[in-house]
Amino acid sequence: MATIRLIPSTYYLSNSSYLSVSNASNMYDDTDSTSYATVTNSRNSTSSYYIYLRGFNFDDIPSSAVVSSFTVMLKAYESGVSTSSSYVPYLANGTSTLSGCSTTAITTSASVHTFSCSYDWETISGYGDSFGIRINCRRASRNTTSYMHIYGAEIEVTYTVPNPRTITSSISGDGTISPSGANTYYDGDEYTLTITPTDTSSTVTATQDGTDITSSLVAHYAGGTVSTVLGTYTLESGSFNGSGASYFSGIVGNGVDASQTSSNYYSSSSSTQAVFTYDMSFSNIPSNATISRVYCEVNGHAESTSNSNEYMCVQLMSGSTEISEQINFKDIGTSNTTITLEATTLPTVSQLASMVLECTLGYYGGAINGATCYVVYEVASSYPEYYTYTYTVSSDSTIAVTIGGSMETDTLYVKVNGSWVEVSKAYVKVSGSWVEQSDLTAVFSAGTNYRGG
Amino acid sequence: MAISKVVFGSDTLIDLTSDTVSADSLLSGYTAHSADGSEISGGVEFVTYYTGSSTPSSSTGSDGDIYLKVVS
Repeated sequence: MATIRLIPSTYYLSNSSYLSVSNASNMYDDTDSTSYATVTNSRNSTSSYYIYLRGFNFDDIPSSAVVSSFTVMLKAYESGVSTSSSYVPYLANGTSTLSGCSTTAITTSASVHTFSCSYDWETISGYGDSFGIRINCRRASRNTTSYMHIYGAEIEVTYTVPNPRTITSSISGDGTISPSGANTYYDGDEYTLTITPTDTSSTVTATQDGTDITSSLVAHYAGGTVSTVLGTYTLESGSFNGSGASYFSGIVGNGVDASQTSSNYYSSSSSTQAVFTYDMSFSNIPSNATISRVYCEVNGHAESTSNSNEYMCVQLMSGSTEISEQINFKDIGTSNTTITLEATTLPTVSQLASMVLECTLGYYGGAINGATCYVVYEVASSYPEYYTYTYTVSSDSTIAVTIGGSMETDTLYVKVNGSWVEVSKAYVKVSGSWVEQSDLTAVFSAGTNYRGG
Repeated sequence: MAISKVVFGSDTLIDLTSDTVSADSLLSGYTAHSADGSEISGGVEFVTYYTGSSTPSSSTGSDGDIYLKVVS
């Protein structure tokens, strides 16, 4: 337990013409002081004049301190006036007096005035530099100068500082935690740890002064379920097929690159249109993905725009089904332009294998400098959006939270050659055919015996 | 009445009394004799699981079996 005296460091006069202070430094002392400063009031009788002592350094008390009591005091007396004068101290926030405080008028004998108020320490200290002791100065009569002598003022604060504890938290695997790393807390503090996983498995540990405290964390709330993970996948490779493929070999590539401008124009040069396709591979998209967008960016230009014959067109196809609008290069113009070919009918993951970028050659052609196709997809997953844990800091305790287990609803491992390997798909043979299972967790069941084949 | 122990003179020719085999610990399709000498038939069924990095061949396994395709 410690006791500290906070004393003022400055003062303010409401009127500098008729109020003055001599030996001001004597005010900046505690109430044990025997030297005083003098406030001279030479103005007519009025209660609107005051002196305001402030500048208490609340920072002298550690921020972690628990204040058990505090007392605001002023030591002063008045002289040279009749008993009808009035010097009354108040507590103030800024220039406004605080209600709810009782004190007595300063008398002609030096005494310590103690303020009895309904305010708690948090309120008083929260005023900071605005907090002060205001003493209204009202002299008795027009013809008599009055004086007030101030020995000092103080706030005597008794407090204790709890033992500091270092809580260190960390996360392994995916996700974030807050706070992370080493942070200082004090006995009685409530430590709150928020865990935001970004995948289905991560482990959080927390230690207090090096001792594992994870098991002492109290879970308060797990947020909603994160249901999707977004991904955009670019085609892996492609190749030409079709009667016009030879015209375009090496021109359409993986990537839109206008610098590869072709000086040649490609057309069927006949009334018979030629068609070639550009096959695309998206094999790395998970089978349980939901596709939300498919589009291609194609850069090229038309040979001409002034002829009425057919021009080269591009379109997304899924097998023989048109899944996008057909864009005519005549509409693009003769300058290289990147167009976006948007699928209006979204294919499924399995249908991606038969999706192609189809080019139809007209009598007049165009140049394609490059093309890249994208599939935007979502993969459903299931894990808590976040967890919040609290822990009341105390002397010897410990914690350790493992995120996983129940969250890993769609992950299955099998030990192969001594190592655990993640299972991507599971099949059950039914009537002689292997049937893929959508729910990996339902493949195995309790009460059934299994053996390796 | 089932016989679990046979003693000839001072010689014990057969003694099943300490055997622990039971129907629920014996593979289905096999028979044995329990500690009291009675014949029991195995009742333990297994589901066979296979692992591999590609899709399963139709010639692999039989109905009810499991195939786990692992991440390669």
